Amino acid sequence: MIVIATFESHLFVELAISALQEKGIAEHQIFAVPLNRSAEPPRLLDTLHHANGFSFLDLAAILGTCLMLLGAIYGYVLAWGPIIWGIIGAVLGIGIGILLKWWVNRKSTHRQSRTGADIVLLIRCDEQQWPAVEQLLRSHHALGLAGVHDKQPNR
Amino acid sequence: MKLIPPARRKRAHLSQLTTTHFHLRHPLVVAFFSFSFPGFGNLMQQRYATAFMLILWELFINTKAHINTGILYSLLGDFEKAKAALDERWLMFYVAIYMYSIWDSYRGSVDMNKLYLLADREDAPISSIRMGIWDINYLDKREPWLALVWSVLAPGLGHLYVHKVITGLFIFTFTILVSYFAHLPEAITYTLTGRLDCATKIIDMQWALYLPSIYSFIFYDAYVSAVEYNKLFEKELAHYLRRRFQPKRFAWPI
Repeated sequence: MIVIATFESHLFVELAISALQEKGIAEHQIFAVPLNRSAEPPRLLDTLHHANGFSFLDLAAILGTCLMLLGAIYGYVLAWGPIIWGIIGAVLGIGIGILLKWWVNRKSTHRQSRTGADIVLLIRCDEQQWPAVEQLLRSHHALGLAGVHDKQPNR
Repeated sequence: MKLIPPARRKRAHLSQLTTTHFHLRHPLVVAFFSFSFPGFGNLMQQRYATAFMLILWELFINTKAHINTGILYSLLGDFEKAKAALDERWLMFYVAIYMYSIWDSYRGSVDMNKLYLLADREDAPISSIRMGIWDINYLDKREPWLALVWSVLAPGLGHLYVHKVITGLFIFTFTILVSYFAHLPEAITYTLTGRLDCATKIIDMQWALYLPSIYSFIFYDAYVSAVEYNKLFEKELAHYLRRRFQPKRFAWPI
């Protein structure tokens, strides 16, 4: 029979494979298919890059720096002093930065959920190994799992 | 037998204290961090020697020439005080190196983005663990938000969490030094106990004005590092699985 399991990209995949091998599943009975993320930008856009996934903090950090600096400077002559005005500036800058990015990103459907099946594992094994294999894969955080039997008995 | 064949371009290099790697960066963002504190752009790029040189130079020359004090009074509109504060004898040395750090981090990012694409397409194997007498470094998944929160709580901790030990150690020392000379702890105490005029009096603005750039940079860099190291981990794992577990002898059901 053949067992099909999906995993998130994590060390658990390697742990699962090595545990299977310890259980007697040979290397040629295991086939791993890492899936390519569709959201990844594989091209050189001009010379500027907005690499997906982290750019939403760019603006927050930049505005945070600027407004914190201005807050500290003008806070120096204001009643509340440079500390409080610096913090107000930082929070305001970071907040505005994140909100702006969120507002821009909301329009594009580019962002996908980060968690999901990254790796498909196919395991060739005997029928009587199935319960042990299933238990092992589940205990190693397989996202989804199915066994396909070669031929239905008595048919 | 050589386990890792020679690559024309490596995507990442694991050492005990850090993982040096290429990833895509927006050149303008890197340039901005160099603008806010010379050397930080290079620190983002993990070019430590250049970064430390520029950062320490900035700290030295800015403190000597009283640039921050000059900025403070200029923005407050008190130009006479600004002129009096700036030290002409040191000010001249500031300009070229400041501009260089901005230009170099922009130019470097553009180049390194191209190198990243080439290295990524070459898809050379990456080693996934490095052990030595000082530390153990391994590729793994780390939570970006945790890196951010640790960085906000205490500068340097987020970097230690993502195993950028060199950056972490530097930032740790640097931030504490700057905060100490700015009299930040006393100013915070006075502020929290409501003695706001005392806080304004005790704080040394020449030193305090370094802090906004440092603080924002630290949490940003720790967060981005966690995200990019996670991507690197995924690439390494996928590469390994593709190379090792796609046997030709696999008995397909059809």
